[in-house]
Amino acid sequence: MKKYFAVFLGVLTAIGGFVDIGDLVTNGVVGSRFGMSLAWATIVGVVGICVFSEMCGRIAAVSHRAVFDLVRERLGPRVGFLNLFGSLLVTLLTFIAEIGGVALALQLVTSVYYLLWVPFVAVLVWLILWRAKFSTMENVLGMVGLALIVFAVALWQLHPDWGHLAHQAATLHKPGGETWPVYWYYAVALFGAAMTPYEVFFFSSGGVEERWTDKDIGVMRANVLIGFPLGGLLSLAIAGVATVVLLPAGISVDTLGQVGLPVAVALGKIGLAVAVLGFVAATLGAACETGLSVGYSAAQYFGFQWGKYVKPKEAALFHALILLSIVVAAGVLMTAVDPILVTEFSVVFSAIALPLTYFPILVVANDPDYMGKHVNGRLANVVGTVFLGLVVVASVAAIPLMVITKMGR
Amino acid sequence: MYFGYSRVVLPNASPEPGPFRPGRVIALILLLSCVLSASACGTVEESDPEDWDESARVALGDASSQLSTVRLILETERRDDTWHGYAVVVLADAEKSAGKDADTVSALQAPPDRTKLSSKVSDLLTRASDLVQQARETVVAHHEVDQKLLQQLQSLSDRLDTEEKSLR
Repeated sequence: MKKYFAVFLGVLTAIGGFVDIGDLVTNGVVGSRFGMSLAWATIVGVVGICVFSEMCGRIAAVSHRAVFDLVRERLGPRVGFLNLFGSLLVTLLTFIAEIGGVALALQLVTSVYYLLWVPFVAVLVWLILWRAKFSTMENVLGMVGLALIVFAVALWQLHPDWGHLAHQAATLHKPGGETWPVYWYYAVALFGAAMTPYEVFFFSSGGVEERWTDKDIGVMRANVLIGFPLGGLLSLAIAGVATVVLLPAGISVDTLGQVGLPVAVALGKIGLAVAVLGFVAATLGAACETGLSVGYSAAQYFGFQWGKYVKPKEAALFHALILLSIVVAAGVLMTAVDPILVTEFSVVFSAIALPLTYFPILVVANDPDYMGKHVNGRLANVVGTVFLGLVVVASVAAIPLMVITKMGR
Repeated sequence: MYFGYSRVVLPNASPEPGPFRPGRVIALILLLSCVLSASACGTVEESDPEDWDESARVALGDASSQLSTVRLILETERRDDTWHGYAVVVLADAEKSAGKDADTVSALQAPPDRTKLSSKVSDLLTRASDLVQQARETVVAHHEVDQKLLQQLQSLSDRLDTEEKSLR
């Protein structure tokens, strides 16, 4: 019974914790401009994150060590540093976007300008990361993040032409006013948003924090293979409501407030309130995950004590790094840079950094010295290699597409 | 043991601190920053007709999107489907964005053969910005949103769309 509850809780938190500011904004933008014609990119991204998260979870459960730790040991300090450099930069950018996202969501509730919320949110994130237990933080924010299910309810209440939506999703089609380079730019952005590097670092480090063993592999797989795809459905629902309400109205999403509008149209004030609660929980949860990931990756590479399972005094450098990243994130946001623009950059730069993150994971998951009998099988390697090819293509294409399309304009 | 991943061995793959030099990475970042900064330091030049068309098209499309957003939020506000603060934030964002669109085009020096078109586009964008401001003032003052304002938003949005399509 305890095991079933663990699976149930894990799946729920995986669903609630799947969507972050990158998914909210990118799916809103894509739905409002391309309808469901880019749904395939989200689906491909979700399958990819499932494949690599399962590998990371397995590595953590079998070796009791997190990914960066092993990457440096297995591939040496040069590749480890390259991996750290790319991933840390993208994770920090994502962290800035998430804190900005929380502030924007609070602005929608209170009408108080988001910049006034930034210091408050920064302190709140620090307090959570300093004081809250790992499991409490993960479960509470993941559960509240389930409020985003309201987007699926709203889509159902809007009574869309399901056949038309399915047809859009099943065909390679773009609306007349858009160009193919912009279409592919957003395909890469959606892929990057779904496969953000911090997700695997947080997942594997979380496994070490929660002291997974090979007995936990089954529960871990259930969380990944059920929770993540259901979380991906929330992303599709966000794009779906934007397709039904915003696209016909000629509205192209460029603010968080616009993302919530279709829910207000479908479900009124209460639905909108639930959606905004979901915005706050999803972005706050992701802010905590990205903040921790910054500390995890650097601490694991340089080899100093890390984790929330040890007292802060014993992991002083780890907590100092987190504090420093919070100060940097708040400082960048206080320059009045647009958090939505930071989000757009973060998802595209995620795509660029993907090979640096995923290639080493594939190598470590194939090493029998670390993995023993849980080394990658043929299926994991075939799928992993296909996705490695895809992340390389997305990574190479991201900057040219960003320049050619002037960031999707 | 498939695909050779297990045999991947990289030069200097050792757990000991390797000879990598963070200084090189920092130097590369500084060099890239200098190149990017220098590329943004051009003097003001008359824009190329195609570039001007592109900027005007983007500004018109964005302004039209803002007008449609305002129309939708006013309709939800009338039906009491949103709370006042949310509507004000969405309207303030739309106002800021519409103002930026108007500024972008008016700040561009139009090519000689686009002078007339430039003043037409600027006029439309200014009207869009003013109309969004009017909508925001109406909601902030808790005045009732009348049908006339909604019609004005629709009609101006249609005009912006027509103008945007003509520039494609």
